[in-house]
Amino acid sequence: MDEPSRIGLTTTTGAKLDELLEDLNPDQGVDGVRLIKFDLYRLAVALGVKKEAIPLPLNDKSIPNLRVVELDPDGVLYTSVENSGLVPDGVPIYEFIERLAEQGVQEFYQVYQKTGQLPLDDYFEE
Amino acid sequence: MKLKEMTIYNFMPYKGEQKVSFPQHDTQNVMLLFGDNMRGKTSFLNAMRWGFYGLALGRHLRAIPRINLVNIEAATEGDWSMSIALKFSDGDKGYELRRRVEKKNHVSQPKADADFEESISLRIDGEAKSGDIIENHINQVVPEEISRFFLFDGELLQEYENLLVEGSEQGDKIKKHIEQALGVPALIHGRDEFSGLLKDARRVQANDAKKNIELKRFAEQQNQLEIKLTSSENDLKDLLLQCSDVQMKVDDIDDELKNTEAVQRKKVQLEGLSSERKATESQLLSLEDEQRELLKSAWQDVLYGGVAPLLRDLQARRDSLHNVASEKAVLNSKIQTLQKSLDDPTCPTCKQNIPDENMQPIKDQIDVLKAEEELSIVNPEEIRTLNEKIDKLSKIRSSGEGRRLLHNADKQRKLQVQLIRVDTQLDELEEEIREYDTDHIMRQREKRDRLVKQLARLDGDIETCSGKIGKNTKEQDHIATLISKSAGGQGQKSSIRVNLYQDLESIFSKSIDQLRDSLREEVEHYATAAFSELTTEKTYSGLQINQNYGLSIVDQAGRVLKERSAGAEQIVALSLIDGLNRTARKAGPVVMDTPLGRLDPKHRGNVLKYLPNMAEQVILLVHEGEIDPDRDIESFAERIGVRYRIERISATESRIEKSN
Amino acid sequence: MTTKSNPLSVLLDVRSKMDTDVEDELIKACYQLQSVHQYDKDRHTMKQMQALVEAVIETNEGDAVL
Repeated sequence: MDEPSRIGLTTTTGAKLDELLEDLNPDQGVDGVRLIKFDLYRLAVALGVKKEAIPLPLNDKSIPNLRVVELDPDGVLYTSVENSGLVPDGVPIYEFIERLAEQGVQEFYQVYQKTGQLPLDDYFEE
Repeated sequence: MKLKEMTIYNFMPYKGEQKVSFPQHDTQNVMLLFGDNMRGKTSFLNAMRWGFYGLALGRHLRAIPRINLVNIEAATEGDWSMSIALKFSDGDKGYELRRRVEKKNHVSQPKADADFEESISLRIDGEAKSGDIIENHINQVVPEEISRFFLFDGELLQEYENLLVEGSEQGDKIKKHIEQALGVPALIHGRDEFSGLLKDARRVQANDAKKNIELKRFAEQQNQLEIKLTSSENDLKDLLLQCSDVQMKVDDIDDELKNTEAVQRKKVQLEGLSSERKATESQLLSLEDEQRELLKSAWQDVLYGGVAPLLRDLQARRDSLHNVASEKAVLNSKIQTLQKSLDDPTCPTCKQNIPDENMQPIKDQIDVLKAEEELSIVNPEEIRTLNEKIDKLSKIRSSGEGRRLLHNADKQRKLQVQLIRVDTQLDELEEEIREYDTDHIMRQREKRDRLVKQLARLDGDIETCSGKIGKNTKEQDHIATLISKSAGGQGQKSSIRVNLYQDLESIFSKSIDQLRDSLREEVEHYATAAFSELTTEKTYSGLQINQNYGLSIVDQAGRVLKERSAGAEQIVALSLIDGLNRTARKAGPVVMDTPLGRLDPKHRGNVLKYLPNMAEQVILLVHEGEIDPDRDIESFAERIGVRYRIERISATESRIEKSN
Repeated sequence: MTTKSNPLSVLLDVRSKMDTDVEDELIKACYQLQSVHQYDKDRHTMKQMQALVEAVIETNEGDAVL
């Protein structure tokens, strides 16, 4: 199995990610901590692993604009996903990670549209 | 005079018909009327005043127009009629007085006083009196000039409290009030009318003198003076009008400014809340930053949760593999040692050969150990992979981001609630303050200062003008006398006339002064008697009203005391009121508005003991909590004949109810 | 009467201390007039007092002529 060196999101989901970032980040010109694509991407993957998601293959081609070596420099994502027992046979780990991200970001967007915030209580409850 | 009953109909806040009965008993002669706000009590007082005199007084003693006297609720329902009926007795006569206003028929929406019609009826011992003499009858019993001395409103009490303050105004006020207390308009009218008649007489005299060559000069002078006098009198009238106009403006601004203290406090509150808001917002921004920061690394915390057990398992497996490996090593070493004995069957210790029969057990043991050893399979590849995995997974670190995010969210929620609370309070305050524009207030203060300066100038002008008039009159008198005494003038009718009027005016004028001076002593006498009963200060002996009608407290030796203890003003006010009352009138009721409002607790007891003795009937309009008859001294409680209470139904309606 | 001192007696007392031709009768009459009408809404007392005084002047003149 060949691991892809770049992964990303579908165009639609990519646009959703951008929108989320704009809503969550401070306004243009205002000082403050800013979230980037990687941050939400990683979080989507992590939460997917936590709840043992079974994401479907992407329904559209992804725009692979994230380099894997930048996304996952210590291979932490790779290792966690690899050992999660979720990856079906024959699927490259990073491709599975991409699927987790695609599903995760869509879910972020959906709940944010509905409630105006991310349900942190649900994500991080002990 | 003794009040029996008052029936109010649609007067100010009192909608419909409301009746009040006054205490008739000799000792239980106190009526208490409890009201929470000023309006109800002042309106009660005004009901009486209007009933007797057709006049209701508002702030700064300005007459309240008829349209504001009719109850608003009733008016909206189309009932524009209002009336006050008073039943009272004087001596052995019984009086029934009824004063009423009704809107004129042709008027649909009344605005001005002229849109109303006022009617009055009076029965004395059942016999109706005709309209034109009714006012006369009323004044015989309760003269209007002295009505302020039995209908004591809060403003008057306040005015009297300020009388202890030194100043020229003080003397003038007291003088004026004592003159009023004389209650003898006959003398005052006489003096004023003689003054007018004298003026005319002088003119006539001057005209006569013109005919006489010698006296022509005097005549002309008199003419000139006459013209000057008229001009000065007109100027004076003008100035007095201006004065009252400016005073009204000042009063209005004062009323407006009184509210600014409340506004200042609100502004301070506003500033405090604004700071609080800014701080809260700033805290929220920090928390949002913190939240984003935590989200950046939260993914590790999330994974850590799942990874930790996995890591433990892997580590356990590696440990067990390590154990197996060590065990294997131990086995191998044992096998090696045994093998060595087989190959070299010499006992290392005693250097003897190991016999053959002993060799077999060793061989057997080696076999057993080898079998065991074979069972322990250690895959170095596996260990290596495990180590790799463990290394990688160990890299997943958690800084408790999840827990911290939850904590952060909680703090944000609390601050949001706080923010909403502060915003609501800010909105309310801003709404309240909006009505008071501080720039406007500043301008009003400046305006008031200008107006007060103007008043001072006008006062000066009035004094100058009065002086001119006085001087002028003297000169006229002088010339009149010269004419009278001259050969040509003597015996002339016109001169005789002038002399008569001069003397008559002088007699009446001097009589007023004499009466007032003797009354001054009488007022002083009664006021001192009251004061000595009311005060708790041992050194205070009484009150003194001096030649210039200045008021002061004196000690036993008659020395004027400059130092005043707290509460003295109120006691002096009450004493003066009592003094004026006893001097001015025969027996009659006293109606007092909030008598204890500004009284300190020290004097309460004495005042409560004294009030019931101030008149045959004492009607006290009190604030809730001002008097608690159950708590305050028993002797006062025993004097209460009847208790009422003003119930506030709405902003535009109140009811007077009997209470226990 | 609302005061202890009678206004009329004060008037006469003041008159007695003054060097004047005014007669007590005239004072009494004027005072009476004022007293009766003191609370009237519309007073005509000034004219009536004038009449009283004119009457005195006429009488005196008459006396003088005589």
